[in-house]
Amino acid sequence: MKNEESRSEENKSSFMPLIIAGGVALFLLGLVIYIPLLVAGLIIVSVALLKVYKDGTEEKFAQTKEAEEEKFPLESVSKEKLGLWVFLASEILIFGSLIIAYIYVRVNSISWPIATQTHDVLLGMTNTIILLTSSLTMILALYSIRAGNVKGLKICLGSTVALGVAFLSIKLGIEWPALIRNGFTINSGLPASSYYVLTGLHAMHVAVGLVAIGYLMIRTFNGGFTSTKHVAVENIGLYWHFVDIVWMFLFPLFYLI
Amino acid sequence: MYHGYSLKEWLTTTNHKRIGILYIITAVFFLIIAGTLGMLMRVQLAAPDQTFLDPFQYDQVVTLHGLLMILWVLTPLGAGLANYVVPLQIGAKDLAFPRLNATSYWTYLFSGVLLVGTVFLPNGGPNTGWTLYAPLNTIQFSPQPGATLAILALGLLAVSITMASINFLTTIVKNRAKGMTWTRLPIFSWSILMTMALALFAFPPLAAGLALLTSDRVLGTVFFSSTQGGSILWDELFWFFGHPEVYIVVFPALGIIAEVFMTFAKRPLFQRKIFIIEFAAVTFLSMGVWMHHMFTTGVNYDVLQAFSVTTLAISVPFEGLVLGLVLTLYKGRIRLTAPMLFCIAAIFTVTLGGVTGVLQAFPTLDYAFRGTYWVVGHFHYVMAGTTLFGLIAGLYYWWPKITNRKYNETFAKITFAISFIGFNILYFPYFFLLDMPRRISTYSVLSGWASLNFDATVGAFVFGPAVILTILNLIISYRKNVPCESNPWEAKEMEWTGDYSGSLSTSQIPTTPNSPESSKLQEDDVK
Repeated sequence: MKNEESRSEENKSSFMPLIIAGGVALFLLGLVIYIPLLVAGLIIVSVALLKVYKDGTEEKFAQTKEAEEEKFPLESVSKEKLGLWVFLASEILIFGSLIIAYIYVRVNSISWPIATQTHDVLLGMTNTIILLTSSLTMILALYSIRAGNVKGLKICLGSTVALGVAFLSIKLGIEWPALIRNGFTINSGLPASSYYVLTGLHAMHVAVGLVAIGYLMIRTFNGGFTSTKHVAVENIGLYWHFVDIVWMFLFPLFYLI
Repeated sequence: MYHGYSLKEWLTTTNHKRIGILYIITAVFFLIIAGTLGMLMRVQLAAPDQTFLDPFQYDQVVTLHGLLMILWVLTPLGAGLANYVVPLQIGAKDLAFPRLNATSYWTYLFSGVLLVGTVFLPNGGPNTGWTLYAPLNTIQFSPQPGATLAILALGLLAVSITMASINFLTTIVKNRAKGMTWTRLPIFSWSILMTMALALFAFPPLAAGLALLTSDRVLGTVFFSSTQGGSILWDELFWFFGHPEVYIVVFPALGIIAEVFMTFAKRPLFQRKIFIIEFAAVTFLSMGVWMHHMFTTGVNYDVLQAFSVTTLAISVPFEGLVLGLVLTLYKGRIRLTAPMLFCIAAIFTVTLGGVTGVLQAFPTLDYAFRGTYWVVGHFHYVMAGTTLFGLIAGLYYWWPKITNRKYNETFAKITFAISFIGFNILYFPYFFLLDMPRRISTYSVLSGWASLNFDATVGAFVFGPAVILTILNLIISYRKNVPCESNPWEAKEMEWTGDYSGSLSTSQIPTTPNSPESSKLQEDDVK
């Protein structure tokens, strides 16, 4: 027994939720029992996300306008943006818990190495400036497209990606190998454990942000953004700024004090 | 009604009703697995010096029973009902992000499959108890890969629930139909709003703790094996999630009880506004009581006192909620249908479970009761009693809505009687097992625990089958194919009265009886 309503919903059906969830589960299973499964899971998730991207460009799942809605107290915030803010709240809680856990183990430890002797403050400072600048270029990207300046958007997104890549290269390419050479390896005790896990998770967030900005660039080059239609630039920008702010906490906690 | 859909349509659906049904079916599936594990434990403990399960097997059974029941049964069963009902109650076409909703469901399913699958790995699954205490959870003391996979499965579930909370919060804030103002928002939707706000607050810290634990086990970091506060760190992170989780589980049940009481007593909710304020107060306070799970870990005396006070404080608004529910029945024309009976039973169990729980707020008593069967009795009265009874009531109550079929009322009442009697035979003896440690796999005949344990096992063999009969009743009534009217309970909320064939109009949003105006009326009645 099917009615008209459910017929129209078939157009909104998608295998991707099932496939993404299955891919992630395979990834986790592989992590524990057999690494090739992990790779397979990763490939499945990537392919599914590409399909989601394609659906997005076809606007297959675009929000249907409900007749009329009660909006108090958030009249001027879109659903996507509210969802993103709630997501960022969950991210804040994750990093908040991790930072508190770090402070906790540090306070409870009998001895802790002096930060400035373990870590290269100059490299940390460089990375901080790079990340702050990338936030600036991300803001400029938003202002460009608001003014309808697509070329400006391309330049700004391009420089954000370049700065993000520079951040990761300094961190993973210069800092970490030097630390490991000095015997500051991940299983050498709590100082190293907390440093690698917290900054590692942050680096993963930067990488995800870079993928998201890459997606913005592809859409920009396909002419997907105009001065009136650029929600994604703003929302991914919010995420990028959040990742920067996390670094603003991690940098002093690990490099300065 | 759902016969017409092909397998492909079930696998690809993004519709909130069908995802809700998938959630319910999956949660019932895990309920049967976890219930069977519980029965295995009761068989093992029925008599002294049993060898039915060896200690390692028993530990795995305890762990999986706890994890599955709390996180894969009770939480998602509430989420499933919410998925079906909340959009209808608030007049939305669907949740705000339908594909995200489907992703939440599938990650939930796969995380459960991974967890149950751990027992088939070499050296078995997790054996740490559902609290995964450190350093027992480290690679040194539970080296089996199954334990790592269980932790990852738990992390995946945390992601799934966080996605659901993002979705529900956005939906309830942004997708309400015109005229569905905050004051008119139905009480079940309020309870889901509170549940999801708490879930958003509780699950990310759990995810953070699990990330640290995973890195300990996979990468060789030393967070929880550190002798300098490592195990207390886990306690803090886990209970910061663990205590709000109790309310995440129980809030949907409270919302259901409120709906059922209003419908079957034909009364508006007693002091609706205050009821909602109390809900919010419990939500807020529940974030500040976690340390009462850690009184015996040697926490600082001032901290201990502070958390003793917050724990007593939270019981005030919570009792207010229970009182509001009971007073809703006052002067009502009560119809004792199956959902009503289950809800009354839930009020009985929450009272007993609550009173036995609040005693633990006093550190001296907590020192005595900690880790005994008294505590097991306390939380089973809240979890298996209030929450499961409330959710079963919700299933019965909305069954005509979901399937368009009425269940067999007589059969339902009989199964209710059996399950309530079985439940009490099972869990009431626990309150007398004050000196029996909660995680032992067997005990000696000299302990004097044998007869009470035997009673509990008898109760388990009444309660377990009664739950199966309830599920059978629902399935049989669905297959019988006798359609019922669209609002058999004469309920007033929008999920029953709303006309969803076209667009909703303001006039469909009920102003009675669940509205502030009628609440005022009732106040005068009581005076």
